[in-house]
Amino acid sequence: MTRPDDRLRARRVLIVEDEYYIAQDLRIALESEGAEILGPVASVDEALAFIEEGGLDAAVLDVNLESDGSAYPVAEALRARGIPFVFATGYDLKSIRADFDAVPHIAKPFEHARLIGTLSDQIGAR
Amino acid sequence: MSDPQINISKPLPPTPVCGIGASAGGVAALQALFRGLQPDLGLAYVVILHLAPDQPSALSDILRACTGMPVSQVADAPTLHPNCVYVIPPDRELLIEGDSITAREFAEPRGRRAPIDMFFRSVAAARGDGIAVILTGAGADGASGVKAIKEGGGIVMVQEPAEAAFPMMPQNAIATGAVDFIGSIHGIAERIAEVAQSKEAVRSLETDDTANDLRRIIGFLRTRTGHDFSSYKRATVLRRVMRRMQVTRCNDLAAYADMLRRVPEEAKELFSDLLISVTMFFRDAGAFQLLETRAISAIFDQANEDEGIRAWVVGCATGEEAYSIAMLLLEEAGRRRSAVPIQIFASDLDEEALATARDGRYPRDIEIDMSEERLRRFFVDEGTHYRVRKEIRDLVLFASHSVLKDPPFTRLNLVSCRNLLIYLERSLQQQLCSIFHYALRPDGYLFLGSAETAESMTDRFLPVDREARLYQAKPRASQPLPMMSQVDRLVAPPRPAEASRADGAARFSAAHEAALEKFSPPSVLVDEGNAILNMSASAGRFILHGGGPISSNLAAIVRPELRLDLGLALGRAFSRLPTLTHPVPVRFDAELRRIALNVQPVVTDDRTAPRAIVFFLDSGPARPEEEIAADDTRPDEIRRLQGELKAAQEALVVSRHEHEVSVQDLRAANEELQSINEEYRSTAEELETSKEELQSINEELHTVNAELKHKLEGISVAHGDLRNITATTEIGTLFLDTELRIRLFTPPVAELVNITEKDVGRLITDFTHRLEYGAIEADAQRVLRNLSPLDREVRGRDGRWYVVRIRPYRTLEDRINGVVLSFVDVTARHKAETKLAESQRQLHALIDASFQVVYRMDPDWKQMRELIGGGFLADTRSPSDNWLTHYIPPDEQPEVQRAIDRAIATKSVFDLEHRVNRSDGGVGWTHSRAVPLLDPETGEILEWFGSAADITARHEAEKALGDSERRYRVLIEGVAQLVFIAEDGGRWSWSSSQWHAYSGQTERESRGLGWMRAVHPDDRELVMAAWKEAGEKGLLEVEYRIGNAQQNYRWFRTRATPSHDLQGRVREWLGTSTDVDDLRQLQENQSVMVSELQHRTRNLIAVVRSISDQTIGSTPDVAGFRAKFNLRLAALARVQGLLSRSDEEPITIGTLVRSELAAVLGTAMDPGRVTLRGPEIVLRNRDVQTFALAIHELATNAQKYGAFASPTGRLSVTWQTHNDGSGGDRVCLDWVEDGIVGRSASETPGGYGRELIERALPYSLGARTSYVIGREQVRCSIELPRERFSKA
Repeated sequence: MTRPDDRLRARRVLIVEDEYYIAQDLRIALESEGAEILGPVASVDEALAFIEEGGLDAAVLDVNLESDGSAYPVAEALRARGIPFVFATGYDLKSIRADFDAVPHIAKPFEHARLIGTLSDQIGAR
Repeated sequence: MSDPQINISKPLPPTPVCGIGASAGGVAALQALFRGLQPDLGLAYVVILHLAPDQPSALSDILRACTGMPVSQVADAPTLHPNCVYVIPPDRELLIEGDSITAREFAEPRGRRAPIDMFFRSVAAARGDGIAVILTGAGADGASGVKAIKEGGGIVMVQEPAEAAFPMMPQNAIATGAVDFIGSIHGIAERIAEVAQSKEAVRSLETDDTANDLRRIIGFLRTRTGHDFSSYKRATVLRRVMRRMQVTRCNDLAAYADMLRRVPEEAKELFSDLLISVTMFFRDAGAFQLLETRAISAIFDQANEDEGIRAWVVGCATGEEAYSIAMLLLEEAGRRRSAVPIQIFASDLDEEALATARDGRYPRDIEIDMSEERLRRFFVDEGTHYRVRKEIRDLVLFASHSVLKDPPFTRLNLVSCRNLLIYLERSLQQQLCSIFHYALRPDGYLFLGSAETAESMTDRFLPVDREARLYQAKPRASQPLPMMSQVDRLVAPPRPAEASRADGAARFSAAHEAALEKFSPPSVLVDEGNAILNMSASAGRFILHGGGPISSNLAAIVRPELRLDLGLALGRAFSRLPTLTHPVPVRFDAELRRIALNVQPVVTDDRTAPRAIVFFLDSGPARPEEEIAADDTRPDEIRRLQGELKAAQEALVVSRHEHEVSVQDLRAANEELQSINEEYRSTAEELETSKEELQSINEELHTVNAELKHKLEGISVAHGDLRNITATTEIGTLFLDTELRIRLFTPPVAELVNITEKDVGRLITDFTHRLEYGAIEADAQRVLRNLSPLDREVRGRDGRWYVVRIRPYRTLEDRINGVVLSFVDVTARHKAETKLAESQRQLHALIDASFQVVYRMDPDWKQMRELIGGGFLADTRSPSDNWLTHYIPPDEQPEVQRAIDRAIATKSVFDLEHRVNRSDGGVGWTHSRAVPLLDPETGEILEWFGSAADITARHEAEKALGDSERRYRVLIEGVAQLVFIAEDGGRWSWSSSQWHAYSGQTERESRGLGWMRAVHPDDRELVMAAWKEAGEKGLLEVEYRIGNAQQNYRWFRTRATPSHDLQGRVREWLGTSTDVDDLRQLQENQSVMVSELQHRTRNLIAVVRSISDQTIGSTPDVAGFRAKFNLRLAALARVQGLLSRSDEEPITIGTLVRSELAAVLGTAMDPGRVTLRGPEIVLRNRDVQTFALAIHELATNAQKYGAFASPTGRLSVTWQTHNDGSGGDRVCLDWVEDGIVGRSASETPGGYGRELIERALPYSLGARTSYVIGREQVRCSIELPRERFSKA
């Protein structure tokens, strides 16, 4: 377990998750680390709107958005802007599209510490 | 011909002529020439072209375009003007007459015309000067013309034969040796300009002061060549020198004299120019006619057999005149059938001309000079030339000989000297005539040129015919050879330098000489023969000529009193001793004077003959008494002595006279000997030529000899070979002559016939032999008679067999000269034949024993020669032409015939299984195989030899097998799989109809690796790899995509297993491809479903965790938590249950609401209290869970706190879709509870339900919700957007 640290403090993190409770769960977990949460949003359009707006430091993406099918357009937009993100998904690793192999992947249900650690690493690695 | 000499003395006409002759190819050459000619050279150009006689000529128009000079065709007789061109008209020849030019009709018939020769000769005769140009052309016209031009002093130019379109005419002109310049047309044009200019220069220097230079030139010439031309006519020499000056481009004589000294060749050129003479056959035909009638016949009359007829042609040049005379003599001899030997001497100085003469080869244009008869009789036509026949050539001896220097030929019947005298000065002419007279026999004939005469020598020659210049020698007394003393005198003319002094000096010199002459004693200059060379004016009185012929011998004609002393003194003088005699009284007519003689040798240079000068010194009158007184005053003794002395002196004088006469005779004899010697020399030269001929014949003989030797060697080798063949051959060969005598035999014969080497020549019938062959002689005779060879096979008495072959013996000349018998031992062959017969019998037995039948066919299978075997086919013992219909069923015949044709065409084996008519009447099968027997020589088919086996049983078995195979095939084609048979490595050899149906390939296309084309390109590598491995594994198992004809690919699983042959090797693979595309599709779907399931499960767990978190947060105790949590989990479980059936039973809003209410309320759902109403609206599976949880919370709250917590409470759940006005349908659900009583304010539903409705629904489903809880009423509405549902 990594120790909680303040690498997420005041970081603006977008949550894209169509399952309300999971989104809330994520929000709570990240807010408890001092992050500022954008969203959560449940659709690709809303997510892209936030990204357009700018000021993002990181994002957590559900791969499979209920309403829009896949969240890959969002992932592409993030990658294009160099914003670090992680996938949160119920799928196996192998069902992630191959060109996003390098993006960290957190299986639902999450362990908070793991989520925070991974996301922090991503931000830190930038 | 006119006499050239007459014109020479005239002043040269003002317009020099340039005659241009051309023939074939001439027009172009003329155009080129006139383009290159400057128009102001002052020449009159006359163009002679061979024109068609009956066509008008456009030549003048053509040339006008090429030159600025006026051009005209000759008509009338125009006067020549400088810088004008005159062109020959058709069918005319041109002549120069004076200064005008005349066109006249040809005198000669067509074919013998030579207009160029004609014109050039006329130019030479009329002008003695001019330029002659010969351009391209065929034939020899112009060749004799250019010689005339050159002789006349003109310049001759000829186009380079290599450049000329037709080189014959230039070549013939060049061959005359008269050509001065050979060059291109351009060169000729330049040269004409130069010559025209130098002609101008040369003409202007004809003045008196040329004499000195001319003398110098003659002097050089004499030094260089040994020939003296000083007695030639000065005009002639000058003309020739000037010609050379034009050729060498010297402008004055002094310069030419210098050049002559510098350039040795020029002396030779000038020399040959001076010698040049034009001659032709029968020149002056009239004169020759007269010669023939007046002289030739007479010569034959005079001739005696011993001496024959001798003639001398002086200055023969290239020999035409000599041959002409030879022809006349031969013709006369022919007429008289006389065998008198004829000898003609022909002499000239010009060695080149002599060479031509000796060759006897003349250009074709000589045909116009003589009759065709003479041409045929005396000449051989050599194509481009005529050559004199040997008959005439042998009569003439050509010799290099100077008539002036060398002793003459003698005892001649005829001297012909034509056109030589004209070049010589008169005194020399006379001396030459004397020589001729000396050389001729009495009554011999002298034949001179038309401009020459011997009239001045009336004492020696009698004119026979003046017109022909034919003279006859008068008989002569004993006469010395005239000496050519002028030669010496002219070589060193007295004081040549002084002679050319200025007039004043010459005058003084003349005066001085006159004075000297007057006051000095009379004198006489004599030569070694005492002949008078010169006399002073007053010396005549000392001469007293006696009787007899006029003599110039001073010692003989001086006054008798002086003769003795003079003779002695002259003798001393020529021994270089001067003499002064005592004065002697000499009686002149009236007085007696004392005369002394002073005789002095004259010192000259070594080359000239010694001379002496005799001075007569007059010592005054002698007293007559001196003579008489001597008688008186002297005593008797003295008188007696004087008388004796006088007598002795007189005797001496007589004896001296006799002595001198004999000396003269001796000298004459000597001269004659010399001329005989000369003749011998000529003969020697001829002999030299003959010797060379003999040498060449000798060479030839050597060659022939060598060849013969070579042949002889060959013969000896052949002979050796023959002997060896005879000795070693095993074939007995016997040669008999026509009488059957033994000529030759080889050793094996000796074993058959009892002969030995010694018996050669004896009759063969005399011998016994060891053959059973009695008719040997009869057969040999028959062969000799019929000439056709004969073969016999005979047996020897020892049991051996021989083939006796008898053939006629043919010589190389194809004559029959006996017979040849050969005995070939064929015992071995006989044995072989026996064996062969044996083996044939065996073969027949074998055939009889075997099941096969054997047959023979003719080369084209039209005829069956034999078929035997006695088996399943009926035998054919004799050749049969209808075997095909006999043996082959009709429907099989075409197939058989095709196979036959193929075999014949390729000369290869015929091999076919076909049906046949069996001998038992049925139709069976046979395997027939035939091979062609080829002629080893030609390769042609001789015969077919074949065998046929009965394969009916096998065929039936095969048919059964085929049926079985067909059944399997039906089976294979019945199954769903695509079936194939492949070789090792995946090369298909067969594919089933299913494959064809699916892939669209034909069976053929699928063969080999053709089937690969149907395999998906991405999979081909995989398939090949699988086939590679299959060999090891013994199994092929691979899945790949196969496309149908429309390129739609489906997955197939292919399995193949090998079948093995008896050796365990893989024979083939049998494989099937099963369509597994649907299966794979299902599998893929399954994997998607598994993945989805996992996602849902994980989400569900996350939701459960979230529910548990929420529930924990809102319930203070564990018991309460458990109750709530269990309820919520139960709700969740229900949703999952519904979801799992959602494929069969879509989840509608009604289902969901009813199921939740039923679960929460249990059976207590009273219809009176609960109203559910709404259309069938299907929710999306993903939204079902959140929606169901919301309903669950509403239902739980309703039971605890709401409608169902009070007995009067009612619940109404209604939903319907409606248009929201913004274009999208929405579904709107209203949850209304009323009739609630007794509810305290604190009894409000927990936070979880509200959060779910107010937050989670909008978030997850995009719903609009409101949730109002009053004291008596609870109202909740949920509006879902269009995309979240569908109408059932």
